[in-house]
Amino acid sequence: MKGYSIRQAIAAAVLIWAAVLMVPELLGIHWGNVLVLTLLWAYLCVAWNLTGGMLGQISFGHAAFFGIGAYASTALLIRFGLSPWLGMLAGGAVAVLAAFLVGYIPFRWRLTHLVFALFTMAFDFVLLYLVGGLSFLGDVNGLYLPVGTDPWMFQFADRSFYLTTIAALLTLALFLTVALSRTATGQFWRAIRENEEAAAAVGINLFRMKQAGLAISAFLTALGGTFYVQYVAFIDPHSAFGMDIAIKLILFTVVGGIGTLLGPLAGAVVLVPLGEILRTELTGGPGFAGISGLVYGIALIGVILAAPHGLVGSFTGRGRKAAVPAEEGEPSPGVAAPEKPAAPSGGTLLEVAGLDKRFGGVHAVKDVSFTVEAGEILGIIGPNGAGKTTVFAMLSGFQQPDSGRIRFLGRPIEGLEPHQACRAGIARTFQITQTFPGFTVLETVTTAAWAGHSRHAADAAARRLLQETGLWPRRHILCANLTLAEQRRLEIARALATQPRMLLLDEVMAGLTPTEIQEVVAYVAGLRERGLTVVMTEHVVRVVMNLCRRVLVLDAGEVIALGTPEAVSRDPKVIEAYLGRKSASSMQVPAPASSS
Amino acid sequence: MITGTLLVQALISGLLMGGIYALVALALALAFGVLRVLNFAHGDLLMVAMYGAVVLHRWLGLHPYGSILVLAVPMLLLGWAMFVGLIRPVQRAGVLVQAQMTLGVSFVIQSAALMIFGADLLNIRTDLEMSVLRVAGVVVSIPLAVGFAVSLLISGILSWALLGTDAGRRVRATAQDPDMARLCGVDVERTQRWVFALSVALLAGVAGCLMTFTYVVPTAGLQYSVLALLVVMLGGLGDLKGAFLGGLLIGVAEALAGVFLNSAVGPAVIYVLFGLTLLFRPRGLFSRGMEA
Amino acid sequence: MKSSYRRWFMRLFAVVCVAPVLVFAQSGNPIAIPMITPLTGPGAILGQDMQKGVAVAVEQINKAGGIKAFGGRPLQIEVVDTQGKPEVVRVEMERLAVRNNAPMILGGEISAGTGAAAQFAETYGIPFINSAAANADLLRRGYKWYFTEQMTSEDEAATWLALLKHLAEKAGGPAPTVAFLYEDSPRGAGIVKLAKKPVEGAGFKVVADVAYNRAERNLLTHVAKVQQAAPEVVMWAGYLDDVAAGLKAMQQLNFAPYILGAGGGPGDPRMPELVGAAFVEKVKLSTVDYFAPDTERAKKFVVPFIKKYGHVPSSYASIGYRAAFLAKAILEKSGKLDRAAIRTAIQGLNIPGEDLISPFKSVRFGPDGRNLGAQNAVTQWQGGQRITVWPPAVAVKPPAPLRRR
Repeated sequence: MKGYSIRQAIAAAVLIWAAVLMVPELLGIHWGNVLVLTLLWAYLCVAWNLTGGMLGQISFGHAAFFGIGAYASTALLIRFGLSPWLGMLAGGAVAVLAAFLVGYIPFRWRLTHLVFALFTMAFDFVLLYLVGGLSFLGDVNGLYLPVGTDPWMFQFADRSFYLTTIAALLTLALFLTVALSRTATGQFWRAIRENEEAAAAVGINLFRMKQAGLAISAFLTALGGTFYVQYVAFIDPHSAFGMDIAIKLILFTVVGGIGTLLGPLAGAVVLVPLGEILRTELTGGPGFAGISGLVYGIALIGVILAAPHGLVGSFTGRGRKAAVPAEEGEPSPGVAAPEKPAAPSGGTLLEVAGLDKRFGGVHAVKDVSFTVEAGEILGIIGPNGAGKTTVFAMLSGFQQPDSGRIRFLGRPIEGLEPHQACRAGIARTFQITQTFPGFTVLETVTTAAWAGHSRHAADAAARRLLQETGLWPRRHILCANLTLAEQRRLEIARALATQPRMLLLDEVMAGLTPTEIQEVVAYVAGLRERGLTVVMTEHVVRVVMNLCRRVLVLDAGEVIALGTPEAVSRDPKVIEAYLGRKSASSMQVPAPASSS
Repeated sequence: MITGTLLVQALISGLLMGGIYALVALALALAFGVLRVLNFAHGDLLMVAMYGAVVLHRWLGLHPYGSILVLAVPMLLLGWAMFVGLIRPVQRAGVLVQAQMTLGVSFVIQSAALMIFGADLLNIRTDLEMSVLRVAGVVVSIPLAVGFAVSLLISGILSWALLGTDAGRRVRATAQDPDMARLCGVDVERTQRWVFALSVALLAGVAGCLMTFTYVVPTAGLQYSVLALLVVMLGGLGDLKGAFLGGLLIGVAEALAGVFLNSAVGPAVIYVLFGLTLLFRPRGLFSRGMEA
Repeated sequence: MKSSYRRWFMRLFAVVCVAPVLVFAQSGNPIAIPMITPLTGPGAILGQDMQKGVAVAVEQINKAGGIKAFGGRPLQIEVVDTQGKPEVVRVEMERLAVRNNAPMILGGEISAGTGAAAQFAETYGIPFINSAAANADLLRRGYKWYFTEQMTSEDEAATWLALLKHLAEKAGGPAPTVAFLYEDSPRGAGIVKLAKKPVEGAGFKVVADVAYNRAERNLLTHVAKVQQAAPEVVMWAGYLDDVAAGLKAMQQLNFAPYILGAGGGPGDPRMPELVGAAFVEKVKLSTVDYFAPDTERAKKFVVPFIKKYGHVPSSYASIGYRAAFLAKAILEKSGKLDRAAIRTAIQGLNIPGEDLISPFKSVRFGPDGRNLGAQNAVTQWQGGQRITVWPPAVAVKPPAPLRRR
């Protein structure tokens, strides 16, 4: 499973340290200082990119963490004489707490990305005004650092130490990013970024992952804040919490290439020195101030037009493996025979009683009750809007029932979150396929397997599943480039990778050709022989009739029939619900060909 | 000592100011609420129109209200050009990249203003500026009241247009699902162009009203942008009536904070309010907005 | 308004055609002294006005023969844009000190910038002379390389009290009621913090203390709050935009107390233009200022400035002029570009008041770096002009009397 490239990180580190050694020597102290600022911004952008790029949660208020770091270490220094090296860590800790605070409600309640972004911005502004009102933090006047040259106090007589410190921080941040990207956490972050719903469905705890991401990013950002204040020796609310910090962070990262490893670095390396050059060279006399800003703005527009996916994105190509050919060079073969069947065990796996759900004025699910026996395939049919997908959503934790009980393996599961339902053993596919667009087929299934296994076992499980579903030759193709049938199979493979006891298939046949349908039907039948219980909703009634032992019919949210396919097909209520007054004969099922 | 008169005065002036905030936000409500273009240059474009009004006043002696008509067309063209030339090309790269593009435009506008007009504040003196209505010991500023009325009118007209006309339905379809709208035969590109251009043209009206009682500086842009964003989120994306009410709420909250709290923490109140709304009413105070 | 129209058009034309880099080219090996100031960003008005004042000063200095102690070498003040950001100030200070080998650095920064600059100057060991208003905190840190020529907020607060007492005496009767109204940045809040206790201590009743954020657009409520308390005198610290807005609100509320002002706002020459000359005089708008354009000594600056730029210089512009002449005086006294020598020269300076354009008694630095000779004047709008009314030694006319109700 690939994360960020360690080679890229090493290359970047080499360049950074080369610059650290050569720039002050060759270009002088001013450029040495510009390099300090450049590296500081690069560092802050790399930290921001952890949430904004990797996790996909844009934050407009990262200045809050920056400012917290700066003020915390300064306050501790001035009041208690605490070394800023330690104060830095203290600031980081406070920032982590702040991150937990800020992220709690937006992540718990699954609020949208924009809401989260604006909420962080509001948080930042509140801190700006709040700190400005606290006299022990210097209120609006700000705080001055004591002047000195004690390295333990983060004061260097030789100013090149500032350069080496920030270069070290940046290098660490880059390698940390690479390392994180290779752990399960990093992979899950990227899955969340690609598709939150699907990520939750494979057992990824969205709340915990997001909190972790924000906390790490906040911690790193706070360290940057301490560095800043030690470098400038002065802090006031505006330079700590001002909106221009966030604006710059996002600007540099996006221009450089959000979500890439080196994008933040590239953005800072291009735009910070550009700004400096323009500022010092284009000052002009009275009446020409502002020309530096004008040229900067024009340059910025130009860069964005030329490289809209980011400087790094545009050069390395958007898809990492967009053109890797299938190994056998032919379309994927049919599904292979499943593994040795196990005898299906008996007993009630799922009990649903009195399930009820309203959406505003729409009573989507009315008092629905049914059971599912272990090892059976239950079909749920009904006209559009009957509530089938809503029932699935409630079974898998994506919706909470207004009332009613659901017991799975004897445990009550109403009110569980999606990832908890997954861990409990319920996996689902989605009616509109939810892929991780930027992942390859292999990465998708491995990530899903990883959520429940160790890394090694996950790889093996993924390989097996891909071979079973015939997707192995296509494993390096990006999900966004798959055909519909392949996407469907991927949905199933992904669901199976989480080792469920019960599989919910939501209209998995829709849009498939008859041949494809046959293949999937055979595959699903085979799953049952492996001991898996399947509940499937379908519009392709023939499939349901052939595959399912029992069929549940929903209409307008209510159960109108539950029984064998033959019985249901003759039920006048069912016929009326589907067809009005059309004759029942077209619904007759021929004598069953295989055992059911 | 907080008397009844003071409170009423605060409420009245807060409401009027709120109407002005709503006016500033309405254009953004169209562009952002409908088009989802996060326009960092919103406040700066408003500033362009305000400078335009100042220039028209100095050259032609034109009253700010008169300049509204004169500026509407250039602003429309400016919006059109900006959308077609800068925003459309990067639309596929995502909302965030679009936003950075508008940030670049913001820098350009601010710097150009600084170069052409200098850093000093500019204003327009008219007789209207100081005229007030005195009602039972409470002062009502006439230019503010006019701005309030204009704001109410525009939000009403826009709301009606969006909900009740075919063109409005096309716009809303484009906002909710561009692909589906395209399939239904809506010329999505054209709709987006027009909506954006119109939202910028609207700023001419806002500028005219603003210049009857306030001044303009090259750095005014960001303030107005943030304010507009706050109002739009409070009101609910895509809900113009909500934006109007959201503006009123901010105006009143600001005024009341000024009465009851003594200090600079006042603005923090607005952001706390904003934060709470985001958490508990992410679809706007009236929950009529679209999913953010 | 034709001249300003022409000016704008010319600027627009220049911008459209070409954007050249203007360098103040001087002949004959000039002595370059840098000045840090915000030319862009929110503090831009400070820097832009200062730049104009500097230009006038440098012209005068070089026309009169340059720096005589250096054989008549011309003076060049290199104005550097710091955008008002502390980290840019930090980088610039080092660039100017190390790469440009500046003997000293002049400052016309906003508070935060001055703080960052002073920190660097003290760490590195280069004289930094601040001419803009700044936080008095810096003077308490015992710095050896930081000097501020400008009056401090403590001086301002003292002048406020002195004038208040004078007005009360002259008016007779019980002590007038006083209210404080101020914007909450270090500038406004700082001076009020220093003034409040002494004012109360002198027997005046403070009936209202209202702060507002400079970013607030609606000051009607705050002003109404002050009006409620019915003060006779309002002591107001603010900048141009907020004071103008607040005065308009006062006018609408029919509230016309006697206003003693401080900060860049109340004394701005544009106030009658923005708010209406009649009302400005009705409230006896006065400011504690470090620049009074009507005084005799200011004429040598005001006259050539009007000639060059067509309008009366603001106080910010006067800072630029003063800084340039201060640099000249320091160079003349030191005779060397060595930083230690420069510092010694600064410490030994004693420029008499008549040589200055400001109402200071003198320019003479104490051991903490403050200007012991700093003294402010109070200017007041009378008859459409800004007239110096205090202290009596420098006043051109007496202050308008406080009329009791």
